[in-house]
Amino acid sequence: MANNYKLSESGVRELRLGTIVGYEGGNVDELAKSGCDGDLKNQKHCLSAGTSCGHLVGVSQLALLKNSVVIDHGPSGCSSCFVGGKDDLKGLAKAFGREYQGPQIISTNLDESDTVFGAVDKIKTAVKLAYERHNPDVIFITATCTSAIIGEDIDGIVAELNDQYPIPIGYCSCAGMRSQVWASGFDAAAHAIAKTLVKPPKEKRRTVNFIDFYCQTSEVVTRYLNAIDLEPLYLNSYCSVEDYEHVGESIATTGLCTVLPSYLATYLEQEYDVPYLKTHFGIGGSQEFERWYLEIAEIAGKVPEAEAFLKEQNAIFRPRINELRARLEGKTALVVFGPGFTFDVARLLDELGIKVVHGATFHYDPKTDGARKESMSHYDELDFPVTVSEGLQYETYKLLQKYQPDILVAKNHGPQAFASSFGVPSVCLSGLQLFGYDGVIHAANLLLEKLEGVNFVKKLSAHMSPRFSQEFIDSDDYTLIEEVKVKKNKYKGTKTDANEIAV
Amino acid sequence: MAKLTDKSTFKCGLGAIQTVHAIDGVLPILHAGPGCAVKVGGGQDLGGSGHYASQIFPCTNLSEKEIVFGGEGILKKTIENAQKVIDADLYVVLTSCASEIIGDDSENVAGKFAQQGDPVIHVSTAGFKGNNYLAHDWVLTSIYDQYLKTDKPTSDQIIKGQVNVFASLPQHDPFWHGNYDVLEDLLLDIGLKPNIIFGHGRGIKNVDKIPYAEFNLVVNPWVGLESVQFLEEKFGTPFFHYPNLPVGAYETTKFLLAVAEYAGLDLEPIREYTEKNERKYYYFIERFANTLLEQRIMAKRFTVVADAQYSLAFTRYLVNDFGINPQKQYATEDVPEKHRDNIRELFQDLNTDYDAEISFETDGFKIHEEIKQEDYLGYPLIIGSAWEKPISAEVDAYYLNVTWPINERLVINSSYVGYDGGLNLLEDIYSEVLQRYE
Repeated sequence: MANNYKLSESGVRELRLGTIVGYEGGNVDELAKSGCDGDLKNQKHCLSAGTSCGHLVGVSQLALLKNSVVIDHGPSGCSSCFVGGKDDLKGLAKAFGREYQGPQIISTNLDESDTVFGAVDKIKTAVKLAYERHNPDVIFITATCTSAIIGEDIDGIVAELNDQYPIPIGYCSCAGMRSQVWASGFDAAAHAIAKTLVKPPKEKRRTVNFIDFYCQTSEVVTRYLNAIDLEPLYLNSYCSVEDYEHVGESIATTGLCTVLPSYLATYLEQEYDVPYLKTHFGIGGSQEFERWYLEIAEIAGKVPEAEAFLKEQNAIFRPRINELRARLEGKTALVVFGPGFTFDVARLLDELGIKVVHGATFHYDPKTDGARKESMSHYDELDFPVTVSEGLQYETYKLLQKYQPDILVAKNHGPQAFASSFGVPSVCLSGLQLFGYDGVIHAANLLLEKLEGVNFVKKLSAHMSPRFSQEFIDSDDYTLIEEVKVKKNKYKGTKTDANEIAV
Repeated sequence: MAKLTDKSTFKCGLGAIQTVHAIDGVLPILHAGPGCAVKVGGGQDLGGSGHYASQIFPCTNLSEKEIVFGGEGILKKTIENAQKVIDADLYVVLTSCASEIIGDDSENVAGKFAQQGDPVIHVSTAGFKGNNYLAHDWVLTSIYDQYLKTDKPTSDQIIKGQVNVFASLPQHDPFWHGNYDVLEDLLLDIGLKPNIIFGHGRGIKNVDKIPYAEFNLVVNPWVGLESVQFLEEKFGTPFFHYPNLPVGAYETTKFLLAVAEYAGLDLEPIREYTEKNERKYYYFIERFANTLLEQRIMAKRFTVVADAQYSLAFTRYLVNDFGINPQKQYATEDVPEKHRDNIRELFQDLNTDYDAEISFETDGFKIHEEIKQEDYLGYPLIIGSAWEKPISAEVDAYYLNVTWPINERLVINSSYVGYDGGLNLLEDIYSEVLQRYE
């Protein structure tokens, strides 16, 4: 079913894509197959932990736009993790030749009486303040659990405010409690961007929309696109309001994984016929990269040029990749990422001769937006056990204990400290650094550095003791999926919940 | 409560998660949405990784279903399974905006566990009720109220010399651990038995000792007062409020003598101790005096944009010890009205004819506008949070990031407190100043 971009709010991933946050029981191919067949059900965890939420990721996307202000309609804590000017982000942008002022966020700091009487006036004051103080190009108003529960009509206010100010003002429906999948917040932000900033195309341009988290520019992406007479248009971080006026003019939209780009890319495909490359990604090792490149080349009408360039580049990089593979072959890895990275990094590791013993993905989308079944079907090329973990590090601990891999491969949400407690080294493989043939070499070098430099983790592990219960440490279970565990009578399930019965 | 926040230096009430986290072996359980723990939990840069970290703090991850039908069932399940999976001495249930607005009776759910003997307590920490500075006291009061079951101690149960120490806000103050370590050492050196509950190797066994102290010591302009007042009611323990966190020789000596006098200690050996430490402090000062007396590039005037604790502590040190003059100072943590007059007076109590004006402004933008208008008679010195970095560059100031948000420094266990702390502060200030020669 097509997404409805006319509504004021984006649909959450659970409903739109059938996304699950809990799964135990099969290998990647089985997960992919039951996803494609539409019979994949979320398996609840009997214990959850603080992970992340749609609000956190939604606000981060919007606050990273150049000269934007986010008015966060909630208590001060909701936006507190973004405060601090985050000069690291500013510095990162600068390092990649982008201009960025640092997040500008005003919180309406809701207090107890606001939760009773409402506080839409605070939004109006905040917008006035934001406009006068920061002279922004765009203002986004974000919803939080608190403002959503008390029923604040932000969308209504936004319509009114848009008549009063000469700059676009948008609404982002990213309240954390709306979805158990934090990636739904990416979609809420993309929805706000689509409604507020994207303009109909005036002319076709030889650009490719490239959507990434902290979109650095990448010499590698630029090199390959230039070779077939294309230019990248990097989205969303650090981009300007003007950039969005042209996104509909690009020949295609792509990104690093299925998760972040999906919603905005589908909008551009649905509304302005900009093709969305949703199957292959340039971080999944040489073969996936080549498939990705040829797919773009086909749209650009440059397949022979692309094939020639790949041949030329492959000749440069292949000997070094083979050399590194010889040093890494036979090592084992536990992979812990979001779904896009879990499966693509697994391919990259496979190319380097590393055996993935298990993949733990934070969530799993059985389909991408645009709903072509086949988009997930190529996952069945992969063959290793997989669990969907909701980002729960209890499970990372148990998986490390079960497999004792040579290395943990991850990026964020904190699994690395748990590997250290087993003396297992870990490596952070992130983003555009993994792109193309260059990325395979970059990853291999990082893996070797960590595999060969284990002093830190060995020493640390000798001084760390797990803070889990003996029962949990001794248990054979490596997930906390409720239907398995509750049957064994180990944990309390929701079946007997008072409120469940009442429902 | 501040109306809107722009460039805020505090978090919401659920930021109390940091206070709980700092008591070793005590585990927060959140009745909250899925993102709350990570947002207010301090973050990895502030020592929030590892086995006890936001990522494993049990959370009910409230969704629309619980918002409609209630979340007491899922809270019950979470408390029960948390005890089975994570080994903790005490489980502290913290509520959130969402769980409180929907009217869940978390107190009752947690209370049933407590009734059956499980180490579970409950604290109301909804973000809209107040910020993390207030919530620090809410958590401590709840622990004393619900966990400490002992009766008022008899006089022979009181441990002679034991003093429970409360100072910096754990984790939110990046130097909290170092500060407690230094205070502990200083008090041990003058013959007291400091009992601290926050940080390495302390934990619940020190919480258990709290009722038997001779007195409670609060070293903060206002944070921590509410919970020691509760201890006074519950256990009859008197408290000594010393508002200034001592930095450098003059203030540290003054602090030790004041505490010793309150505790009824013999002051003579303590004077010897403070004199010995002052001699050492001035040994270093003298050796670096040529640099410290340099007048061409060093700042003449300074501004601290921090919580009242550091605004007062650094103003006292830089004026009373280091002898430079204050420009306007800021306490940005939304200090409750009832403490403001007292804090204003503390800023007048300086060994100089200059008045140090203290503003309780919470709006970072306004503070920066004021800084632009000030005449610092040369290069300004601005001590503050990461928010002050751009304005410092704009007014060509020396800038030191000491309070949250802190982005460009890694603070593990260092401190500006005590005799050496003053020297540490000078090292850090001059490490900025001397870059002017580059």
